[in-house]
Amino acid sequence: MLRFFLTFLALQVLLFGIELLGPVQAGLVMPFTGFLADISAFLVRSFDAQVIAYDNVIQSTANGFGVAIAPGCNGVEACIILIAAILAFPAPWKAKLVGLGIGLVAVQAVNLIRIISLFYLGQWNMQWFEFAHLYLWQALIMLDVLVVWLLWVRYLARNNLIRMPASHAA
Amino acid sequence: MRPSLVGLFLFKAIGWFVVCLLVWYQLGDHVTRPVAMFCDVAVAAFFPDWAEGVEQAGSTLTLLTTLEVSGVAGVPTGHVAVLSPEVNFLQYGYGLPLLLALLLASGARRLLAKAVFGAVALVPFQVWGVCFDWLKQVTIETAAVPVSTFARELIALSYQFGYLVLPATVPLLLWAMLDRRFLSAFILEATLEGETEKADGRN
Repeated sequence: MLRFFLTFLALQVLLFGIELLGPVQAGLVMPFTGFLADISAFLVRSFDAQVIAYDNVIQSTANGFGVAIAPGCNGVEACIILIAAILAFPAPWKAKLVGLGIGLVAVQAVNLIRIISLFYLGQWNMQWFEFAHLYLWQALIMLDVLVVWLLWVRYLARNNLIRMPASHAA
Repeated sequence: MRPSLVGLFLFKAIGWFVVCLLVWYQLGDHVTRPVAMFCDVAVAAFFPDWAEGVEQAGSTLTLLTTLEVSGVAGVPTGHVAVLSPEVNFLQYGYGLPLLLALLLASGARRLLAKAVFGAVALVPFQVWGVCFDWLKQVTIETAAVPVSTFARELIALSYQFGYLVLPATVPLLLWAMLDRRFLSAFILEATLEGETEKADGRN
């Protein structure tokens, strides 16, 4: 347990540090955030044609309201936490890769719901927007990460894939 | 273990979180107080040259300083102002309702003791978040305190870590440590279920 926690924390700090590097932000995080804005606008246009996306912003052409997907809202930090939790857990690499593939998609799917819900919440009431943006969704995304990780651990346990570190003989 | 058990845990956790969040939000003034006290101690210990203390108004924490700034946003040209950076503590404090929701959802034993321990254990991380937010404003946004490039990078990293990662991650870790029984039972039940399925498949 302690080994898992320490590895998890070390990986988290390492990945977070890498994420904040200028070239990573410019070459990966910002394009990805723009991509999220495009996908959000694409999904919203299936029921609301008056929405556009540019850079990291989705905006209503009907009333001008727009939301910018800022750091912390692009789900990258949540993905980093999931990556650290999966990599730190004692399991075969194949199972880790499967967990990462499915898990990251699941986290980003919920993050798209967050972005779209905040986009409409902001058009309805800014106080509720602030409340949901700053507190509610921040924690819900983390709950999403926890549940994805629990489902993955459950899959490992059911298939006897948890590799506990061998104890050293005296 | 039935597939719905994780779903049930999630359902309970979301339900409890919404309840705890609303109560916590209403109590913002009170939950901010202990953090304000420790922030006061921290800034007095680390920045005695320019930090004068911490003032609380609701959930807003203001760092009182002797630093004078000019030519920054909000200060008219030719004027000098005393810098008093503000932070909304609640941005760093929502881990408490999250931790309580997780403990309630997993049916933790000795709930009150764990909740109190968890609330106390969260405080240093909340103090970290608030203090680095102030530091970011003092050293990077207004440059009222000159620091080296390396120190700026370190402050920026610590601020981002304290804002984006710690508030939501620490409650999860605390929950996993305080209610190890839940995770152990969860893994054991899933293992047994897997064994049962294998046995059924052989028969």
